[in-house]
Amino acid sequence: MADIRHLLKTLGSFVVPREYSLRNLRHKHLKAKVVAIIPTYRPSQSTFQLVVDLIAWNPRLSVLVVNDCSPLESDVYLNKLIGLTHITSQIEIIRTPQNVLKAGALNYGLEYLKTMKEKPRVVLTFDDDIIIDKIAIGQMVETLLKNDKLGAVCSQVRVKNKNKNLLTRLQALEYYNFNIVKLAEYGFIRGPLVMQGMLSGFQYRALEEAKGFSAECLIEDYHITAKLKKLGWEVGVAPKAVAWTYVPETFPHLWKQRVRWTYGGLTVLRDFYNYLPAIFQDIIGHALFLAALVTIVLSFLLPAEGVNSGLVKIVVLTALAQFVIGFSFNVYMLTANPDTDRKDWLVRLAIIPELVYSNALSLVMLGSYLFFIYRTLSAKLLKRLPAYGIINSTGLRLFGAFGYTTGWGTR
Amino acid sequence: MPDYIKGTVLGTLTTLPVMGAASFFLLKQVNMWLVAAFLLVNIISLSLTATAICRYAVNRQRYQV
Repeated sequence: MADIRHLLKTLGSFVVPREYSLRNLRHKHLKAKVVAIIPTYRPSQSTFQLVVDLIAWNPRLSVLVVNDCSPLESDVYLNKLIGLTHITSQIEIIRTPQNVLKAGALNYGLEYLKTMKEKPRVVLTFDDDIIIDKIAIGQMVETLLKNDKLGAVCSQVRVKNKNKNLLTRLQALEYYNFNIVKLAEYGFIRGPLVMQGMLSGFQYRALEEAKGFSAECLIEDYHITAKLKKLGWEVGVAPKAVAWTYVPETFPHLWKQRVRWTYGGLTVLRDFYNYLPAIFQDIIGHALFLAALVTIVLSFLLPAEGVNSGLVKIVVLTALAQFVIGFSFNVYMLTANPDTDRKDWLVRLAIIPELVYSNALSLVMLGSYLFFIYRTLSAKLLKRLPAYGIINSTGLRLFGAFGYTTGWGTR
Repeated sequence: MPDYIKGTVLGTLTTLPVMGAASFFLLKQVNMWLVAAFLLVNIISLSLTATAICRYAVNRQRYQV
């Protein structure tokens, strides 16, 4: 009986997401110990400004800057940050013994927190080049502490360099869609798919339970989100917390980023295939995408007997309905986006730029599927046929020419 | 426009169904089982898009965004 009720609730959440019963914090969240961990490699003016903003707007916040072995030439801003530590006890700077990339640096920060007398209630993780809104941290902490079921929340994301060129504008529109999707997934299954690494907040005990971030995974933010869900936590959004990030300004840079995202995403699916709620949205998306693609390709290859025009008409109608609904909604959402300007309207109504953009990124996805299959099969073959190593290296070099490598990591 | 990359539900396959439907429309002969399969995919995708929009509207109202 309980199972049926749970199933009905889950099905119901497809249309009306679960509403969390909120605790009345009575301002207790204002006294909660909160630590912001900022891993940094080559800190820049943005890093310095981020730290200044954090301590200026959040007087009770502790900031832990984890210097991931930045080279000497980045000392300018590192020295500025060290200078801040002489002015306020809110900031601490620690240095990793060797370069360990973002996930490793975050874990180093978490290990450091274990040595503190008073453990934090909330840990915030950042990219070192983002810009935050004044109320972002308060909103995230409040959202997180109001509900014990939430292990993590993320902020809304906007693009700082939107006006640089058409590519950055397309990404800005895409990122706004990410915000819409995250809000739609709040209270659905276990919550949004990814607590994005640029700014997320975690219950400290949730991170302890998860034993920190996976340093092996290419996209540690997706991995930790899935891990928390598997441990029974739910994740959410702080809808009024806003942060801005810089996006790639050239296509090669974007390609490299999306190759990491898509291939990294597939490795997360592989790691959590036995716990579907953690990756539900992603599984559905991949399944539908591949199913549609395969049926289209096979229709050109398999023998056919004639056209049932009625059935084809229904297909055309449903496809058009999908397009009209999706497009109309996306156009309508421009009115709700405070960053929308005339050029955004032009790009969206023109359709073609976003069509080309999304199809280009679909190519990245297809390449990642192939790379994933290749790596999985090669791993099995290498165990049985050591001589396969030469072929494997050649294959890896070929994929490498298109940016597919496992030698990434987030800095 | 669709975001295939993270496999997100909202907006998934906004253009792929149209491209598929167009190809079926233009082909003189098509395997009907494939057309039926594609129709099923379209219906699922359409349902998921509609329900995602619904959820968004509910949460937007709830959290006054």
